[in-house]
Amino acid sequence: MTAIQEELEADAELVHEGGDSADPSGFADVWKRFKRNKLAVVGLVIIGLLVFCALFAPLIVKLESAIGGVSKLDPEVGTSPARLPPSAQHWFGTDKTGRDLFARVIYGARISLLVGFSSVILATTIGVVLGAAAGYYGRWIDSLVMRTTDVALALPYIVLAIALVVVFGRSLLTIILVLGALGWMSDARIFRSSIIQQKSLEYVEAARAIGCSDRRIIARHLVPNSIQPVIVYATLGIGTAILSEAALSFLGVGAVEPTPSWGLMINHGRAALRSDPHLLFFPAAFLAITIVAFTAVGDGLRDALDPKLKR
Amino acid sequence: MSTTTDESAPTEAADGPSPAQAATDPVLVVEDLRVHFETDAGTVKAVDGMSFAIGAGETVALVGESGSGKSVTGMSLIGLLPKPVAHTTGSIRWKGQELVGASDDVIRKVRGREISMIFQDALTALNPVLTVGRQISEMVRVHLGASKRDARARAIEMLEAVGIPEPKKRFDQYPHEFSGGMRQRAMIAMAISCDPQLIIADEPTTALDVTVQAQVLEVLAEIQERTGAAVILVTHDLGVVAGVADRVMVMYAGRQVETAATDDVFYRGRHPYTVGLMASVPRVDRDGVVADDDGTGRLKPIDGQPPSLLHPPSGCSFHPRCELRGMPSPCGTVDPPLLEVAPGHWSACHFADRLIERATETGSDLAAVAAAIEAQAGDPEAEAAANRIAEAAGIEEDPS
Amino acid sequence: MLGYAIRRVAQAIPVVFLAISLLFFLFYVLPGDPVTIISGGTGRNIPEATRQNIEEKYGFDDPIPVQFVNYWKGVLTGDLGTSYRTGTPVWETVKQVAPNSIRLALWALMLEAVIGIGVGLVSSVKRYSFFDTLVTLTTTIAMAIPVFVTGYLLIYFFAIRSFQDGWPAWMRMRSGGTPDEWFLFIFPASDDGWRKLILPAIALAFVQIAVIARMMRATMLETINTDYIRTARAKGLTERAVVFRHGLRNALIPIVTLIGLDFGTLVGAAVLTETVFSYNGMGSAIVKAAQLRDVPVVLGLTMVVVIVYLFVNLLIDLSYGMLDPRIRYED
Repeated sequence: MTAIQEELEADAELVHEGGDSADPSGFADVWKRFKRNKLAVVGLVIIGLLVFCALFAPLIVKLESAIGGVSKLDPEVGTSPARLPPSAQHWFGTDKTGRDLFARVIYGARISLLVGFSSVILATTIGVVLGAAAGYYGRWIDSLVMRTTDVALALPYIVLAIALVVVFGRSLLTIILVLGALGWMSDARIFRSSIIQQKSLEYVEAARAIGCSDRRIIARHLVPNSIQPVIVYATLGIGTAILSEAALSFLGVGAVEPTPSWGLMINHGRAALRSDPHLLFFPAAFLAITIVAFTAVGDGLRDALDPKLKR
Repeated sequence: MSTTTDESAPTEAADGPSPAQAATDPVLVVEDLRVHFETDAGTVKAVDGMSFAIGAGETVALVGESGSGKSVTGMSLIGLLPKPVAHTTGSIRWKGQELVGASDDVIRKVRGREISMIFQDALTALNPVLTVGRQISEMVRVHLGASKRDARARAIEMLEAVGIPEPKKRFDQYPHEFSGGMRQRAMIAMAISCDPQLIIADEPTTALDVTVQAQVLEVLAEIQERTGAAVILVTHDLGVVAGVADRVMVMYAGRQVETAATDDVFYRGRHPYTVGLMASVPRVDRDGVVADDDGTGRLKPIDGQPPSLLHPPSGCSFHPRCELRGMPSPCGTVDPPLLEVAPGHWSACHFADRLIERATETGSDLAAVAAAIEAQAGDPEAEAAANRIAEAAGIEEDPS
Repeated sequence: MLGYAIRRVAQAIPVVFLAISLLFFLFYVLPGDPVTIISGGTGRNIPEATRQNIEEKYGFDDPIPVQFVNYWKGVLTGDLGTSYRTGTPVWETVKQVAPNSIRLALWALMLEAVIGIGVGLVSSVKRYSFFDTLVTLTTTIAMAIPVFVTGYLLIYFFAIRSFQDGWPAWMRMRSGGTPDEWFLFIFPASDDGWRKLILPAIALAFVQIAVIARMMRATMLETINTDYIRTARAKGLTERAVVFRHGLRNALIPIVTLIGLDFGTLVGAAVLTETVFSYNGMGSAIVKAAQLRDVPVVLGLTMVVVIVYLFVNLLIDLSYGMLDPRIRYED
């Protein structure tokens, strides 16, 4: 199909559905396009469910079932025999110290989403601020920011993450900070390119001509127009952050017992893979589905925000 | 001749000859060519019933606005339109062989070897990662079965023929190393490497500077002289047409509206669109510009916009913009057939005859003709004449 | 071209320097007592004399800047220090684990390239067919599945169930370990060795296969719609020649770059895969060393990883010039 036909069609469809094709980035249009991507919609639903689990976990299962704490001596011990297969009483069975796996997995959603969202918010904020400064002011600020990202990106992400966590101690807060500190770089680069692109457009000159201050120009004009790719990256970034936390915990350098981190559960499940594979696969499945969901939504957003990239 | 079975406005009910039959020594005969694009929004009728013939060695210009269907016509001749989307019907006969619906093998043998095509933007039309020489010699090897060495020699010969200096060196260079005009010439070299008998040039000069344009056209003319190839020149640039073409086919909304020798089209246009076109471009060959009603000597653009090809107007597709749509006129309901109004001069207008009534030195004075028609409104004879036209066309009320 | 190469190398050096120095400070400026690690871990009382001995031997009593300079002096003469834990020179460890990582990365690369490009190509040629929609869906999902999930799935089925349920012998793989002997550097020399290599290679390549397939499809589709492809058709070439000789060459350029860059990343980032499969490569060595605060090993291995990564990037940049003639003149 030629490019002209595709555009004709895209516009015709939007008009047909009642969207205003004169403003293809308006919310209604974006939502319509997003809806067309079935996988992305499914992803959104899954995320919704996860958020629900995370927020209302205590209503679904008891905290102690997840964390243990029956005996003061060994806070990890659960209430039931260890390593039970899935049954009516314990939907996912029990783990190696007798805790209900289902409860742990549900609480795990809390951990993952908490780490995911917080670290991304942190990374995006830093990235947007630095990216804006670099893109708008240029020169030495730009060089500084770009050099830093170059150096940091030369180091393998995992290695850096491990090093930092080992150094600063294993706690969720550290993990969030570390992931945030490692994640701002891509956001900064993307935002910076976006700003540079927008900066040369005429409306910026117009704003300057009527006397807008730099800060006003950035905040009111450049940011809203350059923010789209950042939104996409942030969504995808949540998936990455969740993965990273799970990876760190899996490697034994992340969350500490008795935190119900999925990565940690996978680690515990390794040893029992032969006899009780469910110990590993339930948390693993949840982890995979969560990451896929965020990735699908991120992709869907990307397609919905820029129709020309679709095909 | 019967009308075809689609639901659009009725087309030629002509009893007379079609332009497809008129040429003296035709190498290419096209009859009732239609190209429809299926889109989700509907059927776009890019080409809606073209019939013409090209004689050996002729230079025929295919002229029209963007969207008139001229490029699509050119590309459909060698089947370059994307298959699932573009639906081509009608007949395209090259030296007697039918190309519409022919097998891929047949078409491939014709492409490049007998009919070749030059495109508008040589920079994007040439493969950026292959040397120019390689792209030319490829054709020779594929079509003529030449060895690598022979193909190389031939390619260098071609580069020389189009006037590219240091052809041996240029053979190994990449397209981006050529200047715009040289690139276009290289593309011509590629197109003629197998001595085709028809060259379709799709806006070959549009992307070039004026001086370079002249050079490229000169090269094309030289080649033609040497090889006797015919050329279909698709363009919207009337200046180019005036200098180069023997005949001109004017297209509007997917149809031919007028076909005639170049001079006739420029000075004695018999279709309001043609006349309008000629009046809307600055011309050096007359005093000032067109003398219109008030003699202001201004350029006179044609009012309105080209029609949607998804939902073309009923009747004559030009009528919404035409100055002659006075009363009574069948223009809104009956599609005017392409009729021979003078030897070798065809026009698709109900009022073609009247357009010589008020001719100025540059063509008809449309306003005057329109006034005359209106003056006859209510004249029963005129009405009867209009009705006769409608009948002859086999009035089928267009449902839209 | 040579000038371009030299400039790129010159750019890379400070990056390596800065990167490793960054790590250096990270480890040294921090809490944690290397003496304790060396002498065997916490909970022990270390006699003052021993402590002083160790400090002198390793230079911990020197101020940090001096340690820094000494470290780099050592590096430039080929001495990457000795492990706190085992006392073996870091370089020995590197020699042992680095080749394994490279082998695994090469195999993953080959899988990615062959399967990814193949699937992407077929998918683009048969656009909108069932195969194509299936591919698009699977790749979207596959791209997001974490490697340890894939890894354990593979292990579970091919290394555990295949034995338990009695699958045919050729499908039974080993769940861990590293091949001991190699043939021509990259081919395992024993049947057992192959069985140890296959699963980690697949797991490592899995995500990238999906990425490459998608990209291949996208670039191929883009290429097929270009003007020069239309010209190629107008020249009367067979569809095959059009797709392969004209289209593929152009479409492959970004793909090759992607695959190349991947290699650089694979060597270092295979941490998770190596851990899952107990594969003795740089990744797992770095993790173990980091857990034990065995700084010289971490620094030394990381430096190797960074150098390999930057070196591969450089190669890619240079080869890009060869593949795409337009780039050669842009400097």
